Amino acid sequence: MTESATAPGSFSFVLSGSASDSPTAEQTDSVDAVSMVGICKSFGSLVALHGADFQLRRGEIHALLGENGAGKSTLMNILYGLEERDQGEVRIDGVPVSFSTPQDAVVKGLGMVHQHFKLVPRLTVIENVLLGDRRSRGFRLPDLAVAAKELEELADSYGLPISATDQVSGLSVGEQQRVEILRSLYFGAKTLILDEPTASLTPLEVNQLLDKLRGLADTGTSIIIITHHLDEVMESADRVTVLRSGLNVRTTAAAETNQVELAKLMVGRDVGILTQKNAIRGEPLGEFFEQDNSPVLRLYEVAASSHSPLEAAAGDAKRGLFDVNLEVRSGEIVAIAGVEGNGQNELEDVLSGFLQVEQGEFSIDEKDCRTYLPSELLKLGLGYIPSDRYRRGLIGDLSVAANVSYDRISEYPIGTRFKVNSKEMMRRGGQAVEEFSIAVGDAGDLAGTLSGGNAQRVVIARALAKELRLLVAAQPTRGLDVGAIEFIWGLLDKQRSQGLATLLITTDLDEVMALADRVYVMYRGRLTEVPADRDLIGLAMGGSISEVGHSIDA
Amino acid sequence: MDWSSVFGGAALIPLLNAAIRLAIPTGLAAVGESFCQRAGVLNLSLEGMMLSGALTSYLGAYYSGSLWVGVPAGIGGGLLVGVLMALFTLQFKTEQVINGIVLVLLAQAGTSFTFEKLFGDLTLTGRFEPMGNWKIPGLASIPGVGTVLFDQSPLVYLSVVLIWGIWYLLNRTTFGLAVRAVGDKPAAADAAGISVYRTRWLAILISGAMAGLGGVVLVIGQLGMFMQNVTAGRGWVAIALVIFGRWRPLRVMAGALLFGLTDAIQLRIQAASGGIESDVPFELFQAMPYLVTIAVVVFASARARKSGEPEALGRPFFKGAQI
Repeated sequence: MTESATAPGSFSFVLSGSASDSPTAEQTDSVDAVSMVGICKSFGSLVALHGADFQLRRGEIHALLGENGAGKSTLMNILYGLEERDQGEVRIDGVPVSFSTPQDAVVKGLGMVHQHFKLVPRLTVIENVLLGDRRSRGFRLPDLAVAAKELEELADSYGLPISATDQVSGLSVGEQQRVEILRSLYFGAKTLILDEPTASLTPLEVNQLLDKLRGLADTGTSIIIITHHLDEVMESADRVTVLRSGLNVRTTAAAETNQVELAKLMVGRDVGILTQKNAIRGEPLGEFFEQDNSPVLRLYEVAASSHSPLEAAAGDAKRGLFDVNLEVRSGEIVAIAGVEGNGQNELEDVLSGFLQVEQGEFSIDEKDCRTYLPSELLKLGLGYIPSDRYRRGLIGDLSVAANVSYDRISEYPIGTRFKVNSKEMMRRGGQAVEEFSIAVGDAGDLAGTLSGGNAQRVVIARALAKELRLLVAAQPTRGLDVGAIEFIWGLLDKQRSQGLATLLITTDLDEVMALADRVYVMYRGRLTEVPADRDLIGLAMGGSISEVGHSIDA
Repeated sequence: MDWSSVFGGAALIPLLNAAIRLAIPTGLAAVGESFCQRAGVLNLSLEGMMLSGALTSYLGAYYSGSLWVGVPAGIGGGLLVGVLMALFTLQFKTEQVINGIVLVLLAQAGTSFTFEKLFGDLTLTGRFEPMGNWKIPGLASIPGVGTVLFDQSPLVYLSVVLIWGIWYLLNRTTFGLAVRAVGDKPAAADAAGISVYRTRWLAILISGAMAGLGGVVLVIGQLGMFMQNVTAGRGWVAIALVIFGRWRPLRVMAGALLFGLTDAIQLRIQAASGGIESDVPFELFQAMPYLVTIAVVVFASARARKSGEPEALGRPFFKGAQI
């Protein structure tokens, strides 16, 4: 690849009006911290970027917006040396660069905080920092106590205090993120790239993070946030660049735009869920309550744990469910909100038959389901959208059509005990592809080739392909783009209006607010019913108001 | 039966001396294995590495006429199996458990075959006197402790240094930090610029060298002979000891000492009960160290199976993967 390859006719103008907000030396004021011009990148026949531009000013927070597949991750991976560009020019502080590994980028003052943290849980904070330290590549490790003290001093100076001798596995998600940021700063990063930094934080932690980032930017660090959360963009960013289909649609000051406009730029058309946010939340259907008031799903004082009894006896950290009470009735969507890892997986596993209830009652339509296998629950009318759609929701080596039908493969007319009617299966697969707008050439194509949104459509098509009593939807829109979210929310709403009982397990507050009739918050394995109020839910997610439930019941 | 000849005052010091000596072959293999597993590779070929090292050290010593030539030869034999293990596991990314078992079978058959082809059934004439003990001047004359610790084969001293060296390498060096990171979260190590591939290669080779040396100590330091399946499952015991020691080299070595002690005790009980003449079959005594190992490991596992186990143990790494 040649360093001098430039994009046709798009040499970037040099920004000159930013002198006032940057306290650094005059000569560098007019030079962007990062300048990417005409970046092209293809993966085989797929063109990820065709001539994308991106400019980052010194000391600004710049949000990079776009749907999945818009190319924002690819663009940042190129900047950080994780991928090599096919064409285009990258400059750091005005100097052309070409990175083939992230370590090259680190040397030039870049740091990246990935969405999935690159920390080793078993090691301490300081060990994790030293792990990537190019400067101390000697054979002997430096004195850990001394290094830890240095790191803590640096952390304090940035207002990001941390205990450097703690093991990372004991830190909260927010603290781990802080370690990641600190690690970059420790290596001398002047530009930070944060990939979906708020994805797994509580609302309170999100606010803290955005505050800290603002503080860093004020002292001259330039920050790129990759995100698709529009409200955070509006709250924190100085400027926004929107990418769509590998091209930047627009770069603008955050103050000169709004969420509706940004959403439109991202998707390329008006997006219903944002312009009429709460319209999707229909009224609960009175008639169902009159006809049939008994809950479809009932959990009573349920306890379950994903540990083996031996481990539990050894007094390992308790994980699982404690005293969970929950009822879901026809025609309502009950949301379980909460930060990941507070027992949602165990709840999902209990409801789908993967984990046995140790105590308490679990019934669907008053049938005791405590010992039911997943297949038996499905026969009872459970529809299940698993949170891990690739591991539990799809068989990548089978066709889309087979994936749509494999839970009923021995049921007439798809098949018998001995034989599959592949014609019927393909017919149904084709139907699902059409009905759920699955972007695939043919229902016979392998499911493993699908992107996130389309994979999820297959999972949902299967779940909804039969008569349902109860739908358990775990993280149904996680990681999906606005278009797919809109589609899935619409489906869930439609099922509700037809009287389905739905349990929605989600970490996305927007999803809770858009869909839920009732809201529970899960915190350390316990459920608390909370009014559908953003702030209250946010507080309960952090464990601050676990007592709300009691005061409401009383 | 005269129990005082097993545990009695005068018998105690030789017993403990023997316990250390008998612990070393298993201990070397186990400590090397713990290092390898910390890098995330479940190396089940350990028994094969030991056997291969035992044969090559025997051949080296026999043909050169020098016991010391057997030492590098044996380490080379262990490394040979290590290279195969690394090739299968890292280069071809085939299933680690299968690789290990296949290599054990290969080594068992290969060493027996080679030995028979070369020596026929001349096992007895092919015997030589094992390496003698070196008394450390001064220290060896300390009453009790001196005889237990400082009247040992030089191979024992070498082994102790190497075992401590593995601990040091793992806990006090940048390479050891990389090993620990690679075994727990290879994706994170990779992102930090560490080559998962290279680190695991080295870890497997270290494990091979240590297990090979285990074979050396057995053949050159203790038996002075080779026979079919001479390691008698010590490699498997070593793998169990890694779990017992929760993947920490020094705790693993403590487990090996326990194994050595049981072995020393059973040898003496065998002798005291009349050896082959005894009514009690001697195989029963020979089984003792293994039974103790099973019991101890089951107990240790029951306590907390997962604690200390490297997160990525046994899982191949593909660049770009999240786990």
